Amino acid sequence: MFKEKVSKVMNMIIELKNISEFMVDLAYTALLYNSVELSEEVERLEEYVDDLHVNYELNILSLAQFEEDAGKYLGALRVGLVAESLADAALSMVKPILNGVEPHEVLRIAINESEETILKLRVDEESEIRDKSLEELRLQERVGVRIVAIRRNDKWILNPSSDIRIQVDDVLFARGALRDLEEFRKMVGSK
Amino acid sequence: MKHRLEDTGEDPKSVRDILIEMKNISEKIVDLAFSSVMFDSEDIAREVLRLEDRVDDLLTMLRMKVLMAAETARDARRLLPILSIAASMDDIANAAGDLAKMLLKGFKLHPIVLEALKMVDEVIVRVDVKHSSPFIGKTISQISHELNVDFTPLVLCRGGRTIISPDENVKLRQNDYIIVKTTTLGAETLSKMGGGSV
Repeated sequence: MFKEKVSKVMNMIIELKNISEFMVDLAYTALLYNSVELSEEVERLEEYVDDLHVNYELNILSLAQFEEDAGKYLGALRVGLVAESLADAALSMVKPILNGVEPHEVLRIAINESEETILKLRVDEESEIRDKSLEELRLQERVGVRIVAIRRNDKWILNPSSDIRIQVDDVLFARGALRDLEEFRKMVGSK
Repeated sequence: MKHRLEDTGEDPKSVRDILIEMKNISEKIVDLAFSSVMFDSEDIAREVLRLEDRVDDLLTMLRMKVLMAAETARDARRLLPILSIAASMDDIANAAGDLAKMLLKGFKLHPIVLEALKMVDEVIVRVDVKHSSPFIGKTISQISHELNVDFTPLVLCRGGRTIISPDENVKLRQNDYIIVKTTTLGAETLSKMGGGSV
């Protein structure tokens, strides 16, 4: 029982940290390209992180009751708060885009265009990559693109492992150079 | 602690420069805060607090600049998002500061949290340069190139000194250690090749 709780909490920390860092990345990309679509994903993720964070805090509190020294869990709560504030920051960065205000020029300059960007794609019935595992696809070698996240139904898979299979309706977030991402878009073949 | 603009003792920067500095710090400060609690380093924790103060100052400077720049309602509407973004960067810095402060108050990170932090996608690891390490005399960028590992150096510790965001062209010496952020795979390679401990 206690062991189960511990491993649950550990998984939550991993997820909180991975997702919140991904969100900041996504928000910067959304700002650079004034992308409503990516901004909406940030918004979606923020809600997800909110729920996850509340759940995480509850779990920490219930773990702490087994411990004489509750101070041991203070750090756990603060780690959660860092993730939460990264997620909130990501959302407030893209809020103007969601409200139809184009990001101010100076923001784009401050973010300084990096060579890599993030592309979002939905896999449809006709896509050639459906039902294939990432290992089979060898995207990094073939097109120089990396899948950084998959949204499947309402679940998020961050940095998917190579045995993950692509399914119809998966929403893929690929990272790479613009040119390579275009190549990848053709490969996925979705509209 | 809030300062007046004049108290910060430097030339007023442009909005652009302030934002760039805030963005850089807000990215770095989270990794540093995690480094401080993961490796139990009060030096790094104090550095985090110093950066947190700096972000406070920058936010004040930025607010003043933006207020002075707006003449019409239209200006204000376009400038508003800049303020809210800067405020969230400040929030990030504050959360990182709270994490670091915990260490300075004598609280340790629970072992299960430490364990979990070693399993995230982009992990923060300490690489020790021991007496037989092949890293001795090499620069950080050389090591990255030779091992084909991408990593961001966060801290270099040398003889009791803690250097934040070390230059990639600094040559490593025996008994140095660096704290870097890299992928799980990168961390494995670094610890294996460097003969150091993770």
